[in-house]
Amino acid sequence: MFNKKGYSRFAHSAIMFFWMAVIAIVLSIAVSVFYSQEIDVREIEASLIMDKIVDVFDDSGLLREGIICGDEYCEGFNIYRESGLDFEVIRNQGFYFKIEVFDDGNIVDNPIFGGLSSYNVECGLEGKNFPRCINKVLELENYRVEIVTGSNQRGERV
Amino acid sequence: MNKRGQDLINENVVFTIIVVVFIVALFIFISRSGSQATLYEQTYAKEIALIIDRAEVGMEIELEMFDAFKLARKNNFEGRIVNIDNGANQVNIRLYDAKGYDFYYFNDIDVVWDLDVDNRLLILKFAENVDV
Repeated sequence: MFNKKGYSRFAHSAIMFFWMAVIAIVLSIAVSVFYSQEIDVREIEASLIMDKIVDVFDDSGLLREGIICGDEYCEGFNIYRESGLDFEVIRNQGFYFKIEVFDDGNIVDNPIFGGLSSYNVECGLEGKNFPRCINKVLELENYRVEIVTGSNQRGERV
Repeated sequence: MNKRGQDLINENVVFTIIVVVFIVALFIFISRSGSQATLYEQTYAKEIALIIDRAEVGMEIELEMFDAFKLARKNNFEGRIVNIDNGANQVNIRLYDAKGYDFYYFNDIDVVWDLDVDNRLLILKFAENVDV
């Protein structure tokens, strides 16, 4: 089993298997890191949600009729129907929006929220796992509309 | 040939087979990864979802999917490479024999879609969602 120098005759094989394993592991890690790169479209999605919401409120620089009645939202006003956003997807797939309307500085009714409420805080945080968010303020005569939209949809390999 | 000589030959044959198996496995792994199918699945799923999110009722869009068809063919995948689920607002892309990549669109719109295999196009038509 052992030669004059005290080496096992299998010692060279063992070393070679060791390096084969090292090569396989390093290669696997390198390839999986490279191809697991994510194409980040969250900011684009947040921007698309923003565009849809802005279209609901902004009527050529004026607040669109049928949204605010007195000091509250008009009865039957539904942001999902007006903007064409899908309620289930917004709620369950990592999206968020918040809308506040001010009339001469006073908030009108309660803010309108959609999606994951935790994003209200997370939108202000930096980090790749936090949602990408966009803020916009519309000045529509005496009304001011503050909108925040966000997305953290990551996609899924099934 | 004596017994020692025969043992030495057997060991070398086994050793050579193991090395060949290792090299072949490595080659298959790299060539599969190198096809970039997973990356293309993700790219197409997100691209199509963003197109749908931006679309309006009445629009008709043709998306050239040459690379997707080419990769699916290279991977011997003969199933449906695109699936758009209007109920779940979900786009699924499959370019090899796995379950593919899912991505959701938030636009509440009815997507009528078809694959033009000859011209390698995805045809999207948008109509009002009747469930609203």
